[in-house]
Amino acid sequence: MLEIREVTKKYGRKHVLDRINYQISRGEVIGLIGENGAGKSTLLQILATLMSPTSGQVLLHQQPYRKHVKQIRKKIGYVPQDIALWEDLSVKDNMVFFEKLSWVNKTEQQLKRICTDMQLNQWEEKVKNLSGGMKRKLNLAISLIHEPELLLLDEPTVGIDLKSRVEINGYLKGLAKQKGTIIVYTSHDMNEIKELCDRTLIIGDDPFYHDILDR
Amino acid sequence: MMQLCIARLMLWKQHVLSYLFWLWLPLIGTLLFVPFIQDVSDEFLVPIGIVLEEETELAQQLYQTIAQVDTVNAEQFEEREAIRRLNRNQLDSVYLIPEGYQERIEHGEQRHLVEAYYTEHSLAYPYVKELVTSTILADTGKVKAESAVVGLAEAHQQPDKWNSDEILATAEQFYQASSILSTDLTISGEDQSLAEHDELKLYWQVWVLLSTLSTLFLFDWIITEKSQHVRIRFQYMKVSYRCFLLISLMMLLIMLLLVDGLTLVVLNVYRGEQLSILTLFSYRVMIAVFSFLLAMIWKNRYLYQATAISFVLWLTLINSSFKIEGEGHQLIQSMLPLNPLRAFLNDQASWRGLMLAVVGLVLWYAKEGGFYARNKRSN
Repeated sequence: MLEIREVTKKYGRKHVLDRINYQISRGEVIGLIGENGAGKSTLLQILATLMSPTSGQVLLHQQPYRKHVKQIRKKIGYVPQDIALWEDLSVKDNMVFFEKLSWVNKTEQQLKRICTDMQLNQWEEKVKNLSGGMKRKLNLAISLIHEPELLLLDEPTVGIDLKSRVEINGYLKGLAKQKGTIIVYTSHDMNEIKELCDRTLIIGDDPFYHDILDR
Repeated sequence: MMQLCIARLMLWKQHVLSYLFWLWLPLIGTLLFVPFIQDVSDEFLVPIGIVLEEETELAQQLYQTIAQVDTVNAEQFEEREAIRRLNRNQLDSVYLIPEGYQERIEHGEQRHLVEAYYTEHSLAYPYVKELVTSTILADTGKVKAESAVVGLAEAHQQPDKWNSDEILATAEQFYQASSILSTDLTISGEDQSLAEHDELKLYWQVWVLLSTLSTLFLFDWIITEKSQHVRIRFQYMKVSYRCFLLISLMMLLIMLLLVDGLTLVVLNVYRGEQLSILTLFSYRVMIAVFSFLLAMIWKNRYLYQATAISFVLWLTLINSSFKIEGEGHQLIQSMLPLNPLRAFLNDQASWRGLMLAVVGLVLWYAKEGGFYARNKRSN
């Protein structure tokens, strides 16, 4: 379980996040929405251990982030909004590269399986020759090598075609159900959020997002 | 550790030809370039100074003979003026024909007939020295031969017995004399005998410039790599990006040291160019760490490469025998204490540079550590 307790983030006098409380169970997919500047990325970065809150705390399976950062990070899979891949390497080499640096050992077959499961079949192709959708899939696949218990995705499907989006979302649903992975997902696409997520956490107090979710 | 090395090699593998080129450029470039500049050096006029302390026929003859040679621009000066110009790098070297020159030749002396002044920047000195030496040898040989023939003819009261061929053959024996030129002063650096100065380390001079350039270019991958978004993934890996970079530096350093070792063998065994291992090691570590840190600072690869080229051009300028006059000369002189290759070219370990490099590396590591520590304080 992921617990967010009284998390506040201030930049100077400005409150970006104000006493956020939330709990997410195993296998849940949570959509994080809100207007630009509301603090979605800030919260995601706090959950990803990339930023510290001004006050409050986060716990993953009862372990507070503050005391167990190293152990927590082993359990986190973070998919950045930017494509974080080696463009000159092939899909295979990217997977093998990050496997060498990860906390787990996987065979090439196991790595290939992760890719094929999300319909990424261009195993030997160089990343720079892949389409945007395929790059997004690989961006996600690399974050799954160490089988994270908490998967954080920062607009993972932005700018890609519908087919790739459906395939990625289908894969994420399966992952949450089969492996109990907690998934936190940010997106500006409300349809995508409604279709994929079990619950939605709205950041900010813009009534627009509450209304649109109720429809 | 092995996993990390494999991961790094996977990245380098993509640019293997480029890395091989830069790794081997210093050795191959030196082996090709030095014979070339030795060949073409005759094409340039080398400014040398002649100080005539006596106006005898032989002294004038020597001056005229040198002045007529195509490869040098010989001018006559007073000793003080000649040394002043040498100090200002306006002359490559100075040759002083002392008082009693002709008399000593006539008395059969062959050693220390001419004094030479040069600086550690007298790159062309060995060639000029050989030219002057051979000219003196020829002249003294002729005088000795002539005097020997006259002496023999008089002794045997047969002045017409020897023809010109025999006289030349006799003269040739005198050409074999050695140590005619002696050195009394060096302007900067340690006093050296001519034999030592013959080992001017021209090969190492060229090598160290090419090596500095290639090392700087070998590290430019850091600029491309550190700017990529992929860096964020290292937060969730078993090593930090800082640690990964440090291991990469060590790997590249080992590769460079292996190539350097081979270079040492090749230049030592096949070219007779001596250099201490400690000198080479300290230079290599210093320049590799310096390149690494420079690449960490730069954000634009092209600017970094432009800086690298400018830096090597500057090194070439302050370590060469180019003659620059006026303010340019003063500027170069003022920069000499900053010359990072000075110790290397004197075959000494660059302890100061090495220390600076290590301190820089420690500071970088601590700074990057601070970056990660800030992130770890998350929540």
